[in-house]
Amino acid sequence: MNGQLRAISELDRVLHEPGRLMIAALLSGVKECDFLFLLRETEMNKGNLSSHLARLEEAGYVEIEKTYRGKVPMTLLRLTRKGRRAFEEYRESILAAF
Amino acid sequence: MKNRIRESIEELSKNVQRAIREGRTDELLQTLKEQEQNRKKKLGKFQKLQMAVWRPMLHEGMDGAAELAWATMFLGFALGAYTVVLLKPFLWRWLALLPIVCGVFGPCYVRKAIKEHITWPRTGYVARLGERKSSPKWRGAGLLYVLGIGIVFTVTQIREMRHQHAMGRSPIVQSAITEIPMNQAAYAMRDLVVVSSAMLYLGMSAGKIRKQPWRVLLLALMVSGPFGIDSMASGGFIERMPPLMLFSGLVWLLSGGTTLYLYLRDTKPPAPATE
Repeated sequence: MNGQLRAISELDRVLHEPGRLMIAALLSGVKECDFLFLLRETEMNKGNLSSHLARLEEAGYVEIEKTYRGKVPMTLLRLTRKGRRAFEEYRESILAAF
Repeated sequence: MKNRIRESIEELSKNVQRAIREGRTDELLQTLKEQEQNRKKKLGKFQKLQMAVWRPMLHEGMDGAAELAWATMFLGFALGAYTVVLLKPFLWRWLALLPIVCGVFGPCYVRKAIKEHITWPRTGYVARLGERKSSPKWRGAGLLYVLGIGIVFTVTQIREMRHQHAMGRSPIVQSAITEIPMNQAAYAMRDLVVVSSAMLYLGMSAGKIRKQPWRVLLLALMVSGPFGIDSMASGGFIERMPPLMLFSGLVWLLSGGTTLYLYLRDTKPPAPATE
């Protein structure tokens, strides 16, 4: 098979979905952020965002921490080392493919 | 090992020759154009992905907190200097230290207060990647930078004063703190403050100037204003620095205040049950 085509077929399917890719791209640029930040930046609804985050957490790419700031509940999100590596590999693969 | 570039060129050449033989040149050109457009579209998508990675950095300065922090520092020092003069005849002149202390420690608290009470509840909490990595290193570099400037300034002042004493122009006993003449070193120090402030402002405005063109005006004001003030002011370095600090502080305050106003105008707080 052509190398370029092979690079496309080897893309990470968890990250390749646009919503999850958007989340991973945003998280890759920060140390951590909260649910509200992602909600505003991605312009998804809460249900969609939660399900994508659950999928990313299941793959071991995102770490979700439920905490409080004062009395207000806060969900902290960060990319794991595995997630950061997967995102970098995805970027490299997509560059190689195009 | 097969040469992929050579193979693809040969394949392309064969396709072109076949198309010419069969009289399908228009069709071939159309296909090539479509392929090029698709490639550009895909690369465009990739560039958007790159932008998403950098997007949280824009979030950092969208509320004007950093600008207001710098305003606090400049205004604290300026007010401290003015208060020293005002309270000089009084026993409780030590109170002049309060604005200076605010100028030193205030910026961190101002930034933190704006982030905690306005920005995070409104548009969400973000911690930058660099916060973890480079804090001690950059803090150390900043401290060394300030110390370096202070040492160079002091040494040049002492040399200048010795030189003037040797020329019989002024007595060396005058205090370096209460009376520093406006010599070359003092002018260099003033220019350094102005240029550092302008560079910092330019750095903070990067990526925002297209949406907020008024920043260019403030930058020009920040650079030209101090020289205008200085041409009108009289006295030594200590007399000339407070109005310069006050002016820079007011420009930072204007910029930070406007940014905060625009942020509050353009964003809405989330509905009570966000999560």
